[in-house]
Parts: sequence; C-alpha cells; structure tokens
Amino acid sequence: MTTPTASRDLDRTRATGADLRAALQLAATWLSANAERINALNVFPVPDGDTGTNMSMTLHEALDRVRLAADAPVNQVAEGVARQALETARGNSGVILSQLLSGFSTALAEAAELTPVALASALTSASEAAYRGVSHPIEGTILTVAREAATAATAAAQSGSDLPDLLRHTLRAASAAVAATPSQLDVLRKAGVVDSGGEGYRVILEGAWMWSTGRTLELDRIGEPGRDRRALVQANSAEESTFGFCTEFLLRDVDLPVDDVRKQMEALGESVLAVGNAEVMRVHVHTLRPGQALEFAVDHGTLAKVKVENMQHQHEAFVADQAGTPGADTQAASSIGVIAIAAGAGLVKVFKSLNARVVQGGQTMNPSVQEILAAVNSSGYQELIILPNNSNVILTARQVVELTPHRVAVVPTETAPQGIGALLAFNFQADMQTNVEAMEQASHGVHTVEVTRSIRDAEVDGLQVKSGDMLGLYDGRIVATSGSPNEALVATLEHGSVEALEIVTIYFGAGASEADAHAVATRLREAHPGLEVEVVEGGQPHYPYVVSLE
Amino acid sequence: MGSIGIATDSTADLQPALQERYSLGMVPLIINWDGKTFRDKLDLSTADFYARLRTSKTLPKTGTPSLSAFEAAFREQLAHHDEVVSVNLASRLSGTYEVARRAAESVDPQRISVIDSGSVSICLGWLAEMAAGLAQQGVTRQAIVEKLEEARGRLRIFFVVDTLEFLQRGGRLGRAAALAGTLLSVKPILSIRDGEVAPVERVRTMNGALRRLVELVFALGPIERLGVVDGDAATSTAEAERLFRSRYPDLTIERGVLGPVLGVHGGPGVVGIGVLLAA
Repeated sequence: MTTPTASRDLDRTRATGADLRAALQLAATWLSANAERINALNVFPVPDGDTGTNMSMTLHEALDRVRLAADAPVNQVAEGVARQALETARGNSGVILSQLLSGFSTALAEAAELTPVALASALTSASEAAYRGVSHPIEGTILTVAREAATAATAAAQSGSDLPDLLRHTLRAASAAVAATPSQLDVLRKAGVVDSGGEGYRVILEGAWMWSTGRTLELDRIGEPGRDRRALVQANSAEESTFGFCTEFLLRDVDLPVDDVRKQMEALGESVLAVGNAEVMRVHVHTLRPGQALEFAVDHGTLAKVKVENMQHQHEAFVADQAGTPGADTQAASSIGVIAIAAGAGLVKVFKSLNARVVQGGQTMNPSVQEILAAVNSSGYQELIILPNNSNVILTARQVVELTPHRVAVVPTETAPQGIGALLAFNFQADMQTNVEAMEQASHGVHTVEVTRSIRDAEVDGLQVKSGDMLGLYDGRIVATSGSPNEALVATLEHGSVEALEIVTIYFGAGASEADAHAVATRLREAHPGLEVEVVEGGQPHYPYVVSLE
Repeated sequence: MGSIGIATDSTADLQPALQERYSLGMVPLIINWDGKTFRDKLDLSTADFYARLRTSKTLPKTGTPSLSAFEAAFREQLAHHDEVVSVNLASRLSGTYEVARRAAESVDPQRISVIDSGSVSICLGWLAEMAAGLAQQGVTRQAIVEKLEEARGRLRIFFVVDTLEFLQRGGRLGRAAALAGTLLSVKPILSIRDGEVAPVERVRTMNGALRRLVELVFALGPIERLGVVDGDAATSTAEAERLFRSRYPDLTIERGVLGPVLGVHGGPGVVGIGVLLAA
C-alpha cells in the first residue's frame, strides 16, 4: 500500500536534524492517511473523541510551526517540535503525544545526530515522560505501546542494529503491543477494538520506519490551514451537503488515467475535482473517509501536498462567528472571565448569553491547547476559569494552565449541561477560589442525558447495540436503545429519578426538530406535573438530544 | 440637650406600628402612572399597586419627593423636637437623598443631619428604627449619625427577581446588565452593593434561588437581624421565611412588604432578603 520510490542515500547509523524532521513529516502524513481508521477505534459506538484526527493534527501543526534552519541539529529539531506540540495538542491523545515528544527531546538535549543508541534512549525517555504525565497510568493504552516499543528499541540498539533495523524491531514490538491491548483492557475487548492512541503511536513509528527504508510520501502540504476557509464553507453550506473532510492532494507519477481517478473519488464523496495528467494530478474531494482517498492515492502514485480539513468544524465556527453574541461582554461585572468549549451554534449562543467566551469544539473536533490558550491570552482577564465540557478536552485545558501568564483554573466539566450548570453557579461577587469550588460542586449537581446514533454494532454495558440504533446515554453510560431519538430519550430519562428533579432542559441538535423536542417536553410535563421542562436549540452535531437534569 | 426627631422616606419598608410609635416623618416618593400622580403608600396602597401593575399595559415612573415635601416634614419634626436626623434611600439609586439635603439646607442646616443609607427597603427601615430608638435614649445627634454610619456598613441586601425587565426599563440595572440576555429561563439573584444594584448569580428555578439565598446569607457570617421582603411573591416569600427559619432557629425572621416605588423597579414577583451583620 505504501509507495516505494527510489532509495535515498541514507547513512544507516546516524541521522541529521533534517532527517529527523523528514521522518516526523512522513510520520505525520502517514498518520493523516490513517486518521479515519484510528477514529473508528472508539470504545463507545458514538461519534466522539477522534483520536486519529487529534493526534494527526497535533503533529502536523507542531511541524508546521517549527521555524528552524535546514541544517539545524537533531536536538534543536526535537526540542522545537516538542515545544510546539505542547500548544498544538488536541484531545487526550494529543496531549499524551506531546508528552512523548517532550520526553523524546529531553533525551536528545545534547545530541547533534541521531544514532541507534540515542534513538533508543529517546524512545525510552518518551515512554517515561508519558507515564509521568498521567496521574493513574493504565496498561493496554498508548503508554504500554510506548514502553514496549522503547524496550525493543533498547534491545536492538544493544545488539548493534542500525537505524532501519532498530525501527523495524520497534515497530514490530509496537504492533504486538497494540494487538495485545484488548487482552489488557476489558472495555476494548468488549467493544472489539484495539486502543486507538496506541495504534496512533504505532502508525507514527511506522511512518518513521518507512522513512528509514527510503519510502517517501511527498511531504509538504497545501497552503496554511484555514486559508480560504470562509469561501469554502459558504459554498458548502449553500449545498447542504453532508459534512466531512475537505481532502486535497497532489499525486505524481500516477499509474491511472485522470478519469479513473475521478471516478474512484466520486465513489468516496462529492465535490470531486481531478485535473492534470499522469505526471502530476490535483485531486479534491469532500468525503467522510479521507483515509480511503489517501490510501488510494499512495497505491497509484507518489502522494504530495496533502490537505485534509474537517468541514463540519469549519461550518460550526463560521455559523457561530456569524451569530450574535447576546449578553456577552456587557460590562466588566466581575474581574474573572470564563471560557467554555462548545459545539453547535445554539449551545455556543447559550454559553455566550451567560457571559462566557467560547472556543469552538467538542465531541468530534477537540480544540488544541493553542486555540484555548489564544482565547485565554486575548480575553482581557487576568483570572479565568475554563469549562472543557468534554472529557477529551479536560487534559488539553489543563495544559493551558501551565502555558499562560494568566491565573487559570479548569473546572473539569464533561458535558455541555454540566458546563452550563457550572456557569450558572458563577458568582459575580466571589473570588476565583470560591467560584471554582462552587462551580465544580454545581457541575456535579447536573445529570446529562445524550441521544446519538450508534456508528457500529457493539455490546456495551450489557446492551446489544446495532449500527444505526439510537442510543440513550445517562451520564456517559448507555442505558437505552431505540429506533427513534424521542423514544430513546424518554427511555433514558426514566432511568434517572425524574421525581427528584426541578427542571429539565432539552437541547435539540442534528437529527431532531424543535417540534420533536416539544413533543417530548409535553409528554414529560404530563407525566410529571411539578416538573419544569424547557426546550432550547442546541444545534450540536451528531446528537439529536443533549439534556440537562437538575 | 433637647430631643431629636427622625425622618426618612417611603422606600423604608418599615412596620406601620413602628412608624407610629416613633412618630417618624415619612416623606413619600412619587409615582406617575397614566398621567396621574400618586404619593407612594399614601395615595396608592401596596396591594392596589401590585394588582394594577400585573394588568397594566403601561409602566409607571417614579420620582423623588418634592423639596417642599421634605421641608414640611423637617418643619413638622422641628415643631416637636430640637433637632432632626433624616436617613434616606441610597443616593446612587435615587435623587431623594439630594432633595432631603437641600431641604435641610433651606430649613435649618444647623439642626438637621441627612444621612445616605446606601440602602433601601427593610434595611433602610432598620436604620430609621435604630435612629429613633437612640433618640429616645437621649443620644446626641452626632452620636446617632456616627452609629448609623457604622451600621450602614453592616447592611446587606439580596433579592431575586422574576424578570430583569423592570430594572432595565427603570434604568436601575447597572452592572447587573451582565445577567440579562440569558437564553435559558433563569431567576437572577442581585444585591444592593455600595448603593448600587449588582449581579450575584443565576439560578434555574425560584426554589433553587431561594435555597441559594440562604447559602449566600449564611456565608456572610454571624448576623444580628434578618428580614424577608415580599414584592408580590407571597408563596415564595413564605418559602424563603421557612428556609431561613430552619437555618436560623434562634433568630427572629422579620417580614417586610416591598412598597410601590420599589415595586416599580423590581416588578412583580420579587423576594428580598435584608441582613444586618453582627457588629
């Protein structure tokens, strides 16, 4: 599937800073090509926590931001990438990847070149840094894969392997470790998947190994991320097409005619553009499966200039930018600012109406450390509270605390309702510490019900789930399945003790209409006369309903 | 040393019995409604006011007492006493204090002291009551002024409104504008702080807001007096009283009724809590 090309002149026992950079670039490109597949390795069959996308973007953006001379030594390259990755990290897996890179660079602090021994010690240091970065290390995860890979690298270096050989042994150990993760973690075994973060790290090692054997995927990507984003999104929102990934690449030395390439792309998505000739071809497609498009590309030519962007994220960012910001920034009523992470135009508006600044992102598109950091640093507040509103954003938010001169606290909210509950408890007259405590306490007083569509067959929490079923989650646990969002919602609500509640707020999003939501609300009011039920437009992607129980 | 008379204005939500017992000079603020002028609490009873407010299409406007009303009140007090202490509605909320001060200037500045309470409603009532009690004990005017200025710093007011609309239309929202525009239904909790309306928190339901009020008050530490004030919210006020009684079993939970002028700005459905912190 990879594209062997002319072997390069590579010193098999020592690599330069430029080599390291090239290896990381190839690893990043290979990771993007595999991102969709890794995203699907999700314990819950819900559209959530895109590990592949997060790790790929973390690495790509870090490499894009490194500014170094072409002949910079190994230690500068490693240090530069590691430092940037601290800020480009997205999601829990991106944060752990940044810790791996940080450990990797620490061991190379004095190294001008990368020898097999230095590489083994860097991989070991990477593994140790990742373990240190997690408060309760769990086996069967990326940590295990990093440790097994480092052990194999050390053994290979001791037995005198050269770099390609060492990487081959390392990759083999990583592959075995990934394959073993379901036997170490029950949740993986039940879900029938391997650990996604571990697989992401394995793919990075595979990219490095591909580089060491002289295989190339041509590396530089098209333009800067975000360029022409607005025009693209406007065109797209007019079409009302299914969102997905805007995927663009240049292909050289193609072994198929351009019409065949176009046909193949049309099978994968829409808005297909394929121009050029066998020597060089430019291809553009909007697809939910960019990995398949890229795999096709590497099978039929030399892949060059890859760009993959999540259009749904762009769309939401665009819609939210256009939306008014009622209530926000009225007057400096408190000296403490609040930043909330939210996805969906309606939820963004709700947070803004409660005086929070909003960073776009959430269930399937986690913001990077840098995006949250920028919001913190540009807020005008010296003291800030961050509401991640997603369990996969909490680590990212905590990274921000270390990187900003401002005084920042994270109230670890895992859902939008928890975040709104916390935000409502914000006291304009209290100090930072008091507010953090009160908001954390308030977030625990809110229960969250979510309804979403299963993305595959699975057995979870003792329930048989079919792909396409509507799933009802109560505080993150799947408790009900049904054919329709409304039935799933009602069944899930009955799981909590509705009698003890005062107010239920239904945020309807993609896949549910306002009328649907009001129908459920009416049923609830009839069944529970004392209960207040409110219906609010959430606009969240993938989740017809997100419901707050207070 | 002669006797001292006490005056205040109609925004002091004071038990009528106390007003009579101390012969307080109570100067009414003004309500203009559909082209008619009413004197607060005199020409328009509190009950009639809220009944009309709930159905009225127009929002009344409020005004300070006239200069002559204060002058008359001060002269009346001076007819029976040697000196007068007047304690009035927060100067940042109303021009009433300024009118009282000018009236004192014109009547007899050497014998009349005017104090800015920085407060309102039941808390202003307590200051007037305290002044009257001190006057009966024969305390000097200067000492009364000093005592009131000290007690003023121990007053706290929280209140929950059904809607921010009335405060907004009356131009009294101030920094609490930060609470407006919420896309969820919430009960805003506000305070009077340094003589101004200020935001505190938002709670989803009235019962939740009442529970928060108890916690907010409790966090203030030891208290000397506590009163719940009913702004056309009888059920909620009774619930607040019950909650405070169980949290403060040894304290008398006082009751007040929010008068018409304050009702114009709070709107119907206000529950207020007045607190005098322990010295």
